[in-house]
Amino acid sequence: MQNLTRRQLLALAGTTLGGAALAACGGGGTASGGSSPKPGGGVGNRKVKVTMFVFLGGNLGVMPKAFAKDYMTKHPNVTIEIYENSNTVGYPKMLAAKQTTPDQPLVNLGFFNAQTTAQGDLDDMWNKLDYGVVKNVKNVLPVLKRGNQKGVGLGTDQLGIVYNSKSLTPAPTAWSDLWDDKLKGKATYFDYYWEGVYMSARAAGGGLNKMDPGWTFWKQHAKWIRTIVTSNPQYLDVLTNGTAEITSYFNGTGLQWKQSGAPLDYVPPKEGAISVPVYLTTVKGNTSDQEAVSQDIVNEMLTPKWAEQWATTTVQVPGVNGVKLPSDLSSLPAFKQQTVDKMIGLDWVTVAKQTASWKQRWDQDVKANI
Amino acid sequence: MLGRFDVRGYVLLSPALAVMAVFFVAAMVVLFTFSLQPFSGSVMLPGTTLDNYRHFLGDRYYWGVLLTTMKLGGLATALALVIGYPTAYAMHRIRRPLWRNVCYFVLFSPLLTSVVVRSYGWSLLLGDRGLINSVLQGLHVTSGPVHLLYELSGVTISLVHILLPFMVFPILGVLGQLDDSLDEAASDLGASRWQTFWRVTIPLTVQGVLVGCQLVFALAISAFATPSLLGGGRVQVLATLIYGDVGELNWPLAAVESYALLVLALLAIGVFNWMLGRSRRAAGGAPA
Amino acid sequence: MTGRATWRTVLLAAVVVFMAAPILIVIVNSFNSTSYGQWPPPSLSLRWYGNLFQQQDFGAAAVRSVFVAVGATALTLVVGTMAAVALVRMRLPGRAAINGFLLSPMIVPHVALGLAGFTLFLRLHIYGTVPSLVFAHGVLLLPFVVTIVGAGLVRLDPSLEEAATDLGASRLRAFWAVAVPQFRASLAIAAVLGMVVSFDELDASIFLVSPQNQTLPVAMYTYMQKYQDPTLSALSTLLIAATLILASVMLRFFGPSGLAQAVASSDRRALD
Repeated sequence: MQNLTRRQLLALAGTTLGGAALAACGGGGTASGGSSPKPGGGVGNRKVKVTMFVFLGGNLGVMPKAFAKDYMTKHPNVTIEIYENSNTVGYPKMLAAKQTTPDQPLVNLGFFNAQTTAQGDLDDMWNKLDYGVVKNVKNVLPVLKRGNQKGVGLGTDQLGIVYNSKSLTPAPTAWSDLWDDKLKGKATYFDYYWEGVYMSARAAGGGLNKMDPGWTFWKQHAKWIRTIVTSNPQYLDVLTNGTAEITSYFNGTGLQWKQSGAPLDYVPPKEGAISVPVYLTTVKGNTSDQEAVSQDIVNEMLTPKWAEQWATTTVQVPGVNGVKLPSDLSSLPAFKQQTVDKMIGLDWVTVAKQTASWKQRWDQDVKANI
Repeated sequence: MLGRFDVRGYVLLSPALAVMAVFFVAAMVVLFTFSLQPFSGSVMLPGTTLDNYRHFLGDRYYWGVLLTTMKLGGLATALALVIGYPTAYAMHRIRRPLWRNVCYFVLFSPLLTSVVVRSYGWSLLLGDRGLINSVLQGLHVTSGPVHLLYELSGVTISLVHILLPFMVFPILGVLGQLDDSLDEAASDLGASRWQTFWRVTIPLTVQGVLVGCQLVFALAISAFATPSLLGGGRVQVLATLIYGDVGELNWPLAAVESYALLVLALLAIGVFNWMLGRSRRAAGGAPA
Repeated sequence: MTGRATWRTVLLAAVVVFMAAPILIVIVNSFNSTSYGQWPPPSLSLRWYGNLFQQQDFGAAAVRSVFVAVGATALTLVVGTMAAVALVRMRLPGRAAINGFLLSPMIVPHVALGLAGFTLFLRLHIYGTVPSLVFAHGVLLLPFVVTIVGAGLVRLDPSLEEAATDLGASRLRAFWAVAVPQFRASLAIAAVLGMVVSFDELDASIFLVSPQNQTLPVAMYTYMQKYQDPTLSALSTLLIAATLILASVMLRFFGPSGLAQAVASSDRRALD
């Protein structure tokens, strides 16, 4: 089994020779009939169960659950189980499962944020998507396609300024506003917010590979931070009960809080918001049936219907052409074309390689000094 | 039955040891193998190395975190004892079962609420604009807000709050086994109430005290949720470090940190046990 | 001696206030009409209770948590009492080491044990099963039982059991009939604390549960990451209310042999 990539397996699936080859491999399921993907991923009437990972956050689970219900009605032989967990716990479990029982991955496909997707590259966690199966890839914005074809972007959230609109006027407009003198001791950040350090490094001429100017800046300005938070409820409390007035965080969460009634708002900074894509990937270790179904699911999700539901429920910029956002979203600054055009994209693989050491720098340079 | 080496002792122990072996020992072995693996570029690599240990033991930052952890444990234990013993004694003396039951219930009701939810309550009490600060400023004890929330002090208070039942209940259990005739005998012999308490009650309840201290200390140093949610990043203890490292996939370092905590704690508890052994001999109960 | 009684009352009142204050805030907040915990609540509302009952995961998770708690506590009470008897009453070389060993699950942060346990359970093909959870929780509760029951055992006078065996009872029967009633307070306390600790356990469980077999703390944690509204406060309030009702019922049912009486010794006299 190890000698054939998933792509080759899928290509072989159409022929009886492929069937024999797969049977000879012995591990991963039987040949799928037919040479072109049928509805149901070309698995005919065979029962297939796939587990789909959705990381936790606001209404991220709404579209996947609706999709699963719809797909299972159309393909009664397929069962989709949704597995919701945080990235911090879910991905380590996936990795541990890969090391312990590689032929039985914990999940078969899922939604993963940019950093976790890049980490998956490093851990050899994903399968390459067969663009012959996932034909709707052609509708995806070029910036959300992955060069190595391991996964494809469905939408992108953005990181900018979130602030208390009741107590902080006039509204901030730039990353540099975070360090305004009058905001000393009034800022808060989520733990290990290296993205903020990156923007400071960038402002001083550095970048992902040259973060030292950022660390120096944050070390010197540590007193601007009133407290670090480690959970979303805490974050919401701190921003609304007077402890802090400003932070940098996701557009999606900021708007969710605003919609629930909190006096908070999101602003895309002048210098550009950081684009944080969400990717759909399939996981190594799937049987050929599971992989076929998974890639078919990915393909289905890239249609305007589902991409739009994803974008509106998660409050993200859609990654697929032809999606029309409702006016209450498209009128927001976060979704204006000029914001989208100015978004800053990152090399997430570099990020994934460096986060362990950045975490230590954060502990020593920032947290030790606040 | 007393005093002779009894193979039955090991027979009685064996289920516990077996259960531990299947889960705990096996888990610690897994962690140990992690601790020896190289980690670089966010991936665990095959091979064996002592670099993780060297990295942890050689960096002053980690010793600082160990110190904070022990400090938190010690403070929480001391506070829990100071509050807990009188509380247990007072509860022991309650006549009416209704009031006693109310106290039991109030004592362990925090354990029924999720830590996330409790943290909200604490943020309202300890915050800069919270209840305690309002009262202090209203009584003109302080002029500006005292920073309690997101500091070690706030974390300690919240830990004591949740761990108090682990101090009070063991002491209550031992108090309940006291024979009141001892108190009577002491007073018949002319001891004052205070003397009786100090010289009769306290020594006989030392086991309860030491068990309570052991429990609170162990729970305080391994606590993750409270320091994480109420520490505001300023309170970095080993459990929060381990959680971060597990999330970052740096399991080798997380394993080293786990072992470091275990070793340090067992040393401290070894001292407790030694004192427990001495008090058992002094109290004339079971043999040493 | 009312001075002393007053002191005790004042102290207890202060402790009760300390213990209850954050919980009362939680209970009041569960009726908050705003979703982001504005304090004081501008108005009261039951919407979070309504929202709670619309969630699908909590009910099954709560039942599972109770089952795991009861199962784990039963397992540990048996195994742990045997171990405590051995440690307290019998001469064992290496007792200090064994004691420390049995305490270790309480010291090693559950995050690490959860991750390692997850890999173990995967290998044994028992990941995500309820028995695996019961077993894991049982191990995590062992230190509580061994220490608390051990403290209760120390004070026992073994001559009473010797008398029973002299009269013809087997060792086990003598233990059960003579010794156990004397330290049942410790047993009861170990049981209650054990169940609550298991019911509350999150850090290890989050690695050991599968999505179909969640425990309540895991379901709450999952919810908390998605939505930051007072629904969890409502759930906590309901849990407290349920426990209160359960405890009242049990006390009434067990009457004089309830927990309160078990802790109080049988022939106390007022010394005030």
